[in-house]
Amino acid sequence: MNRLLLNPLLALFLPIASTAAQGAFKPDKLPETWPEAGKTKKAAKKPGATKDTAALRKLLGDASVTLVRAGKLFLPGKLGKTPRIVDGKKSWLAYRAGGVVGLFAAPDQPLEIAANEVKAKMLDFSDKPDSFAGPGLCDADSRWFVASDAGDLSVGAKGQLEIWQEGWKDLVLKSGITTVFVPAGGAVGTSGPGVLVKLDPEKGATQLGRPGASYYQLERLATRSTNLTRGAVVKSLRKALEGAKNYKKADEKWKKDFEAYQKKRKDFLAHYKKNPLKAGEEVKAAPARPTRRGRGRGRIPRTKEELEKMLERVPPAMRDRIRKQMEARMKAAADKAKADAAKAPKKTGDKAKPDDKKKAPPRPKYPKKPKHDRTKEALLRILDGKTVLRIEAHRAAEIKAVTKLALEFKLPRIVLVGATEAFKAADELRKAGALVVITPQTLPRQGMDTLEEHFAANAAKLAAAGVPVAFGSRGKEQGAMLSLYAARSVAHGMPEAQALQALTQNAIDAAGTSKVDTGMVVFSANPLSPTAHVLCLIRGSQVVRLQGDK
Amino acid sequence: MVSRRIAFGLVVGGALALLAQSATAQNAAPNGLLIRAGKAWVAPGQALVRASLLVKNGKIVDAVARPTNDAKETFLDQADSVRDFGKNAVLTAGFVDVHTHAGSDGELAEPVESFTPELRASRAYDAWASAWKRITARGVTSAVLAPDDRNLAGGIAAFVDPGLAAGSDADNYFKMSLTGAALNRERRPTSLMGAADYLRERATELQNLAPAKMTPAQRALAAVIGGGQSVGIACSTVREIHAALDATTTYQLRTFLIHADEAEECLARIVGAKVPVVLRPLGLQSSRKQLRLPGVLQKAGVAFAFAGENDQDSGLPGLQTSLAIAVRQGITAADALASVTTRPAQIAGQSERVGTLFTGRDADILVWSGEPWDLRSRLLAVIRNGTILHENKQ
Repeated sequence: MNRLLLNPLLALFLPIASTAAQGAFKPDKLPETWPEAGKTKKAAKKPGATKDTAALRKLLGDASVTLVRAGKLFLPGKLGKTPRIVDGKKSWLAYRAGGVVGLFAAPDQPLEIAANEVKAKMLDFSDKPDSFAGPGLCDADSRWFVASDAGDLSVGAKGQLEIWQEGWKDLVLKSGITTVFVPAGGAVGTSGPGVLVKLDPEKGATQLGRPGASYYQLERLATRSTNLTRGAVVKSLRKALEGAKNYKKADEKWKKDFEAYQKKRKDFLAHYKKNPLKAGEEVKAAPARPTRRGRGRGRIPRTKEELEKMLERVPPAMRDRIRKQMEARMKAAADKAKADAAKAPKKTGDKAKPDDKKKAPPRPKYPKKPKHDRTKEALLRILDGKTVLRIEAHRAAEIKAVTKLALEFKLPRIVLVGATEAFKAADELRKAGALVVITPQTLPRQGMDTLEEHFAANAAKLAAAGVPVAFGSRGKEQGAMLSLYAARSVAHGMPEAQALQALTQNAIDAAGTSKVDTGMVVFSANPLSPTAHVLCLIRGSQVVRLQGDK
Repeated sequence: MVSRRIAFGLVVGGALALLAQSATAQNAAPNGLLIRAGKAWVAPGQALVRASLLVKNGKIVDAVARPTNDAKETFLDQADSVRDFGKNAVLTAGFVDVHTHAGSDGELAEPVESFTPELRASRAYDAWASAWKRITARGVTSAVLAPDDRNLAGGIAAFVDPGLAAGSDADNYFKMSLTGAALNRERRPTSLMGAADYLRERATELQNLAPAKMTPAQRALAAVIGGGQSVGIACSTVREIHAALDATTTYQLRTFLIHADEAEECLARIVGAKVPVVLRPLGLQSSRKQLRLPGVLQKAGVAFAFAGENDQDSGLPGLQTSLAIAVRQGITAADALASVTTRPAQIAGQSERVGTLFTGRDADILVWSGEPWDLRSRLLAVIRNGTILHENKQ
């Protein structure tokens, strides 16, 4: 009997559970019955569950895939899909290096699959009804690994982090935080792209290749501001973005000029290849650029019409005096030109070959390249949507000014950090497509309107208004508390799935990078509960079972 | 004419008296209130499933799990009103905040003198301060208003029901401080060494002094020396903790430490001295050391409690957050619950009144939508002395 009737979605678990941590799984004992047969119809009707047994068969044959079953499964919302928590008893969450593959319901019929074809790892925690599986959590604003203060949009965190710092393993093993976003320079001022750091208790901390969001420090007003003047905080940012736009225009113009130059140079070289220079001949030089003096102030008019036009800009009382002066200068200039013409030697052969002379192109001049500006290039990446911009703003008027600016410059995504009074500007934030990172900095400040239990209530109100929210600790070990703060938002009306989304996908989005593999974590309970601890960590094809998992 | 006026006065007076009487009747705690919930933690680790609590005259008369039909009938006979909070609701004893300065507006220290043992915090207690309302809404039904950390001997703390006028029995523990805040350049003591010396001088003065000849300050100090009245000593660093324990040994004080941020570094001595510790509230801004400390103390067998609420709105409920974070840090739920109920009650010497839901205790009851250490749970109702003070919709 080389082919077996298998219930791969339940039966294979037992032998795997004990061996998964030690390496690749090799099933050695397979049951021949399918206890769940005939009971899976209801599960198949669940949203997101698929009966695609072909896909499941394919996954089972993939050694890089891990299938997880637990009391509850969390699927973060990606690409406009809403996050959801599903009953994990009759569904399996498939994970592979790169992220969650999908949610699969146990098939109606037993799968015919040979034992040696099953290569995927299968982890079944359904015997623990409170267990909870989902992607690893992310701290959207961490201070781990921060080495120095950066003060320029062009200076990123990558390569500057003290990645060798220790002490973060508890964050992973106890709280299930597998990724942290580290802003460059700890976001104490304007700084370049931050970095997502993957925390792996076995392999250590590794920086993600792609640069993350940049941080911009808003202008601090020297004088006490009012609601009418608070928009001034974005003045410098507006100026910087306009400068970047002009830089882009100048760059585009240079590219056009460079293309024209290349064409002219080709003609130029072709001409002299065909008509080599003879002794005594010179290459025709490029026409000189008009000088500032020739175009601007102090220019000597050439004709009387030009002089009259110039005098229109002069006060009437001074016109006669200026006219006299200019006429004298015009006369002197004309005399000088005559004298120069008389002095100039007459060129020979002009009449002999008039056509060739006309055809000879002048030497093209290399177009002047705009000065390389890394800061403006960083801003251009923000304008193009390649880099996400994070801005710390607290007052509602400031937040509104930032969102207005984002719409004006069509910034694809901005991230507001802190945002104490964000609940008052929820509509504007939603319209601007902004994401808000709630941090302890959102603790009530003097002169600001706050809610009861502000940290959580603010997040809940924003979520209710359709503004995506993430949580950031602005600390190190304090990241372990984020799930508790998200839990408090649930008490204020935020759905649990939204709270988990804030700790997972939204935090990744706030970091300015998407499609990040944060691994999978199996908790002993809903991670929003303080009693939850990590049972199992799955990263790529590596499975780490922790001591708490008995 | 005069008689008419008298008659009119009598009528108006009578009417007013009747109105006042009816108003008092409305405000008074219902005589016999039956509270039902899915679970009641009568004490940390002791749960009653499908609990029914009968409250009368501000005290818990009976608390039973899964009452029989007979018991239900008996309860209903005794109760004027019944509140059923549903099967998901969880009852706990009201939180006890054993060290707070709430509502004092900085009035809990004497800035000129550093040694003011005779001062009473009850004199600075403002029952009408808005902070008390907020604190009560967060589940604190008993609090100890303590002199702040700016004086070496700050005075006598007051045990109060937040928002109610302090009674004559409000005096509680004696508050001392060895923190940097108490060491002032403008007055003695200016150093830890000086503080020890200052204390020795004051204690020496008491020797061979008849009680009748003692000043109020000396009487207050004499009540502490020898272990009569308990002493809360605020200390933070290792040096300060050692100084506090030295004073405890020298003067045979009945001490508990307040804050003790670096307790981990001198744990052996704290364990040896068997002194409880009142910790700062835990929050997102707590340091790694502070987050670790409850677990370290629990492991070493040192009793600890959390001090929680203050005037400033920290954005999250103080004691409930401390409770949740302690559980997240690995403390058992029962131990964490004890750190905000029974242990602070014991430290304040009020465990016979508050901290548990046993029969005969004050009917200070919190009704939660789930387990109190889960921050997803909301406080549905706060009941103090059998009266519902706050109630939130589910």
